[in-house]
Amino acid sequence: MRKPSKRDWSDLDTTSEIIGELAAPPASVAYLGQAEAIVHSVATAPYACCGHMYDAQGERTHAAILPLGVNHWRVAFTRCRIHGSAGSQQSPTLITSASSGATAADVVTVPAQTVGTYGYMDVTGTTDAVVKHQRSGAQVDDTPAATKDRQLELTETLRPTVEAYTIEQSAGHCVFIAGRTQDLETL
Amino acid sequence: MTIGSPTAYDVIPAAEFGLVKIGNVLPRILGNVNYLYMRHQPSLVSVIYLTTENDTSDPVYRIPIVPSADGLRYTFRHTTEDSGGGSTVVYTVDEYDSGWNTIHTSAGQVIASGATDTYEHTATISDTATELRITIGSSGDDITPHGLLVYPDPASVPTGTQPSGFVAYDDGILGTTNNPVTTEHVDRCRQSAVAVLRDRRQMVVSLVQDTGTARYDTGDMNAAAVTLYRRIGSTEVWLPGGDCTVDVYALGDVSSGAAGKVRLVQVAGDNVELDLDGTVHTDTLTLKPDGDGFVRLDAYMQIPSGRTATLRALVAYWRPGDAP
Repeated sequence: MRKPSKRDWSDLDTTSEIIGELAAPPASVAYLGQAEAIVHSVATAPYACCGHMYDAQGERTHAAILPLGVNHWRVAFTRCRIHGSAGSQQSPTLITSASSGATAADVVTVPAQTVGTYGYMDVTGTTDAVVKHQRSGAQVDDTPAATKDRQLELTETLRPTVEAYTIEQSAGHCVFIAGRTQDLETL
Repeated sequence: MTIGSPTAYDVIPAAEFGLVKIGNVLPRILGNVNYLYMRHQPSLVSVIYLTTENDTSDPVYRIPIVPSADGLRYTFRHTTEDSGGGSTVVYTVDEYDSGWNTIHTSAGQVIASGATDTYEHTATISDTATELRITIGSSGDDITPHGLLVYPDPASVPTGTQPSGFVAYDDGILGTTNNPVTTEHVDRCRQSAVAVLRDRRQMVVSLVQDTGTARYDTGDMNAAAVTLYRRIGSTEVWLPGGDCTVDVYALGDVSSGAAGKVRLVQVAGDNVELDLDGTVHTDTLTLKPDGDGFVRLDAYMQIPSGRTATLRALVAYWRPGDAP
């Protein structure tokens, strides 16, 4: 079984060598293991997940490039509205993707908070704007019978995937990895 | 001799270590080194435009970049929505490299009424380029640009030592039975993997708006609140690993007088303040992710007195291994 790497790059030694100038090094499986481990770590390590700041009450279509072995992802997003303004309940944030959203039931629907009328950032200088950070659901249900708040599925592959998606009612978001394959040898 | 790359990552079962000859496994590891050059593809640019809806003005976006030292080919993925009645859109991509150079111009992309269209192409970005400029010409049709994704997509594995430090593997030495395994072959795995990892910076936050008619500027804010800072954006970011530093870049301008100011702040953490004066400014921000890897970032602009400041781009790049 080979799992994707969870290596933390903050302690990366950027200059050292595996064998280097050691004279007549003994043949060792340890060297081979070190050589493979760093390549495996880079190949399977997750990428940083970019945070986007914008202003869209409507829909925005974008794509994320996700590293190999990812099978589920979620969205951390920002909503903003004017606190206390008149209006009915906010529309929920809807998320669809190339791999999740072929039918209406596949749409990931994240409930909204219930104050205000606007989905805009407070860049206009409004003094009473409310910024709300939310995350789409953690539940795994790849074949929902009805729209729900859940993880978005992705077909696992042994190379990175460009996953297109749309998101509505948001002023910022970040796609992040929620699940990866447990055994790369099965892909 | 052949320099190849597996089309997908070659998973080497752990059980193979120690049970086979080093000369049998090492070529597979080195093949994966070549794979890394082709398929280590974190996004150089990932932007959702802060943009005017139903825009007829041919918006122009400028994005500070830190491209690969190897002068790589990248894939660009533009997404634009027609606001009604259909549009024909021409994308022009320029890089700033001691002057503006056009690296791609599309044919007219027809977008059906109300539809959202994605246009994809490749272009090589110079290793010394410092900005991208994206122009979306619509000849007066009303459009809403959605976003841009740019990621490394090399056409082939190059020969020789690259400026990044990457050295490709060719099968000329290890490909023949009983040929020698040198220490350099073993060290090359680490050297090249780390070189690729460090060379391809990853965008971690973005806020970009039109350099012509910006959606917002400080003139939209409460004029009585001069010198105060107003939040103009907020997002979470996920980082793989612990504390790190990122390089923050800002581009903006001010109608007159002293420079405007923009701040990027980790909530309950470090912050940087950069000038908005018509040129790109940069500084280093230390980020401390929470236990799940998340960082919450807010962007603020200062409201200048009697003048208007406009932010055109605020982006940050992470390079794995850059620790505070």
